Amino acid sequence: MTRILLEGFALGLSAGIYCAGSCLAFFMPYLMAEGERKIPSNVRKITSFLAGRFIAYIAFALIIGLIGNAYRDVFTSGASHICLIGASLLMLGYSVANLIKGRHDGACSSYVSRSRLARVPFFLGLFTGLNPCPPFLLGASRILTMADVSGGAVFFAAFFAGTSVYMAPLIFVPYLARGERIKQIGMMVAFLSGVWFLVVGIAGLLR
Amino acid sequence: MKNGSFRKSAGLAFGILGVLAVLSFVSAGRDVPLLLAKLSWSTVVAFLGFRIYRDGVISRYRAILFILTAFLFFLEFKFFRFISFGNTPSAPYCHIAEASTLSNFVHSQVLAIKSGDWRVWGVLTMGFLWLLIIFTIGQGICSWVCFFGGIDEGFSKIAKRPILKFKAPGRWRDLPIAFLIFILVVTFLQGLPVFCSWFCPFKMTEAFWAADPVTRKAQAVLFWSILAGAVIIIPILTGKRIFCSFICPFGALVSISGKASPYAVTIDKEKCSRCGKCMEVCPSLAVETTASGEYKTTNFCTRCSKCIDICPSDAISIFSGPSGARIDTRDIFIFLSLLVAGALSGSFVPNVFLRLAGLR
Ligand code: SF4
Ligand code: SF4
Repeated sequence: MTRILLEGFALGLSAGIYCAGSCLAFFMPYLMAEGERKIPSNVRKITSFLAGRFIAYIAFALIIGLIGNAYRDVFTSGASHICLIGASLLMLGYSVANLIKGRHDGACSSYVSRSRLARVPFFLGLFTGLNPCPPFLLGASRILTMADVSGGAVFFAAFFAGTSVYMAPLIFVPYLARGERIKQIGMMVAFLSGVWFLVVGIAGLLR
Repeated sequence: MKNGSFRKSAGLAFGILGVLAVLSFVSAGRDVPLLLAKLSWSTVVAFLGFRIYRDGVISRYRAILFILTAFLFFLEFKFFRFISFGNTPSAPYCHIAEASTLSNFVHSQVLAIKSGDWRVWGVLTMGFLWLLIIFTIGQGICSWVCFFGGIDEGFSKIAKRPILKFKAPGRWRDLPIAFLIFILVVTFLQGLPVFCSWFCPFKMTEAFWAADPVTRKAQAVLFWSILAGAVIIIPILTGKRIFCSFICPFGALVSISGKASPYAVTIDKEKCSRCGKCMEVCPSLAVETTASGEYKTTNFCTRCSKCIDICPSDAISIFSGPSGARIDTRDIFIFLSLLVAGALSGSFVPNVFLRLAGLR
């Protein structure tokens, strides 16, 4: 088991920069727009995001372990695109609601407060976590060779820990992104990322 | 701007001609027709400089040089290469691509320095050149040098008066900064030049068209939409440089890095009568009002000087130095801008002359 743990952690460490890049497209604009200059509040947001990712990783490991190799491609291609679409819609909903809120504060504020769900970084983590990137798929291939569901979950938990090291610097994004203007820019980046990945996800599904 | 004396204007123009002539001799070598073409172009640039100093009108002569250069750039790198090489037209460099693949670009510069071999510094010279321009004329690159900006400005000048009034864009003026961040992240993530492949309305090379026909069609739709909308139709209708103001990631990068330049277009609060003309004519949507109603220029100012020419109170100029001790440096700025524009355009405009004369 220790070997599996170390192996997962090492793979996470070596490939984590790419994973961080994948999450960056979604989570960095969110932090630019929502982050505060208080470490505990930012840590809470990042932890919530990581919790979403953690659950996604473990669920992925269990599903892959249970369904085995035969359905792997169906899962990694179809499900990953659906998750990408999910993350994009979340980003779009979040950014549009906030951009509208800035314009018509009174009329839309109730809608925006109802859409607070869209702000929850947990779901962003969940969807981006289930969007398998190349290192993630490498990890998936490794657990298929283990033929052990719990071993796979442990491997992915360690893989998650390795990749999460690269998320730590995100705590400082809100410090760099000060002021209302930067928050608005963050919202626009969230909108652009949402549109882009929505198109990428739909194109992937149609292929 | 007041008219300059003949002697001062001629002196500055000869200064410009002198520097450009030296560059022409160095770069043309023994190729006499090329040398003559280069000297002719240097004379055109110096003459425009003379008119700017003498008439006290900056933007009109700047626009002639800027738009003409852009037109000739397209003639050289799109049209001539297209007819001579069939379907492989491509320009040797594109500064917009640098912004959208910034991380790759910086990496290539570091590798070039580390190699210690000057022969691989070809890429590096682009980096140094860019830094040199940023530290001198800063955002002025967008209104004096950029070949793509010249096309946008050309279309924005077609209608004598704006057919549609463009409302102050407020926070949406920051869209290109958001677009730059988005492009950097997606480029890093996908390892592909996403801007060049999908969003560039100039596509100076064939390299970015996808091989797969469906993707290629999607690229073509976006290409024609951005070209028609942001570069041609909306600029004609509004008189504003829409591609430069809302899309160009290079413009966004320059609006941030250009702060390193010592020159800034500044409005003198004491002299300003708050007529709003500068805001109305600014093609880059770079004039805004503060909560107290004062007019001020923003980081997006491209130093086109249109506002300087139109201001009835002579309240705007190009200044350097901290707010308490500013000095008017517009003559120096114009001199440097003409040198940069003349030197860069001098690397391809003379070729166009030679081709048109049938000598190439
Ligand atoms: S044009 Fe001149 S006087 Fe009019 S608002 Fe602008 S700076 Fe002030
Ligand atoms: S503020 Fe003046 S100099 Fe700057 S871009 Fe606008 S019109 Fe040109």
